[in-house]
Amino acid sequence: MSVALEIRAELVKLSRVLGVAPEQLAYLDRAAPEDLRALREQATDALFEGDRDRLHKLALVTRIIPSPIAARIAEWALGPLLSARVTGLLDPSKAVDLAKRLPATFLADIAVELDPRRAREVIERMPAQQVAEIAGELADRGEQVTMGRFVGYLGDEAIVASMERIDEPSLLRIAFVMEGKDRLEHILGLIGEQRLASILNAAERERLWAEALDLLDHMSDQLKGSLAELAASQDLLESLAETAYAEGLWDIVLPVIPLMSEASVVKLAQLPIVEDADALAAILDAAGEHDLWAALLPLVEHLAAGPRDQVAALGATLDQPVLEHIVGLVDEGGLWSMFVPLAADHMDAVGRERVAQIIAYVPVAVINGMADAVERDALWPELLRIAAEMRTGQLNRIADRLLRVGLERRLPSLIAGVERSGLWDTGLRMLGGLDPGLQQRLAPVAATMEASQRALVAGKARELGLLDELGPIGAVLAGAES
Amino acid sequence: MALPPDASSLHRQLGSEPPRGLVELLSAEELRTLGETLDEAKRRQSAALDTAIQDALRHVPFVFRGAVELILT
Repeated sequence: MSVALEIRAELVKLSRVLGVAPEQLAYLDRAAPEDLRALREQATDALFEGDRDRLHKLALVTRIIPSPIAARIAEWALGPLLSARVTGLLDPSKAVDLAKRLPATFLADIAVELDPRRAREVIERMPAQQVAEIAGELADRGEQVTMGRFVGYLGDEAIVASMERIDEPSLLRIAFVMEGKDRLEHILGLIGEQRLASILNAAERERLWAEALDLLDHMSDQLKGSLAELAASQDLLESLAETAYAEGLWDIVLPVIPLMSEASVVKLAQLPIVEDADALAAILDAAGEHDLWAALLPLVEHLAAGPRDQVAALGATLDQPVLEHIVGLVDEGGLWSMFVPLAADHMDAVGRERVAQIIAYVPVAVINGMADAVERDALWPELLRIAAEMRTGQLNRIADRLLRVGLERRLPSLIAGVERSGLWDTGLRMLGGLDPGLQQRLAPVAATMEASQRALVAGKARELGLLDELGPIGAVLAGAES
Repeated sequence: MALPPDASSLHRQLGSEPPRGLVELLSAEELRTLGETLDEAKRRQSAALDTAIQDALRHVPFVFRGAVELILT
């Protein structure tokens, strides 16, 4: 829940305890919600303690008079506030017996005033159907804040029965303001998929996505994924994403992305709102602010060319440590096939250079992960575009690491990539900068290349004045020219 | 650390130390207003209780009234 809404809900509760209109407590709207809650509980205790003796005596009276009379006194003499105060002092079975004799409307009035902490046992012992009746009455009155205080004290049977009496928008509003949200996951487990779908549709219909996203935020990863899938299957992702943008709630949505199926991520990536430049900037801001890059990257993979350009452009402006962190996440997530073309084709020269500076110094294991992806997906031209921004020393270093492992495969595919991209200078400088020992090892591999291809490479190397630098490789290539 | 004097009235009304964050946030006047609001709520509750006890007695059948009065007084 947003802090502002949490404060508002707390002020409503506090105003009830103090018997004043919420507006009279407006000067407290700068306070932290946890302070307001603590104050409310202290005030409730103080009001109780102030009249404890007399309240206790009233409770004693119920022991000697028959329940029907005690119920009448509660309703006609004490009223809801004092009945609520006395409830926690009654023997729980007596309290339940009295409640059976009182109308749901009056019990709802009591519930509004009742401090559930003091009446835990009474609440637990109330029959589920009676709780449901009271819940229905409270829902009709729009008393979500009151119900939100009780949810944590009700057993499963009472919760299930109550949920049947409450419409979906009210359920969302109750969940939003409820205390003890650690129980939300369990409660959602009591709801069937069809009702969950109805709740999500209510979020769409009644514009309650902020409430729904708050719900999502309190779920386990497993349930988050299931709810997101459900939203996708109901074609609700668009309005969910629009709310995330409008309310600044991307930090709740982004962590759900890795928990979604690929088909749903594709749907999300192709939404107009995600393609909107401002919305995309907000997404990147949220990713940066909350370090949600790992969650965001699977989405980037499925963005259309335009948004990818924007992501790349914004990414290129990130601080170096952040960019390094992202490159690490790309490696961990096996996302090189997304990242290399993103940097090569969607970043400008400055951005490519910044990425090049990072890639030039990553550990060998990272290079190997990248090289495997580059080879598998024929991304040498893209990698060469990035490498073209490296200084000679960096190029030598990366070439060494790229070609030292799996050189039988990597040399021919590198050459093919150079041919396709036309980046002869970069490709040949990579080979020319290798240490002589590695060049020696690569020479027999070069000899297995087609003669025409060897002649072509040799000709280009000669043209660029790099043939000598290729050492033994150059000799093998030049042999094909005659 | 001791509470500032401005919070002492609220402290007294609550019967326990008010949340520190609140004490630091509110002005002296706001703290005093909050204490008075709580004091007023206590008075209202006590008055309501007085009335309720008198009303309650009227609903108690004669046969129980003596015992009930004995408890309540």
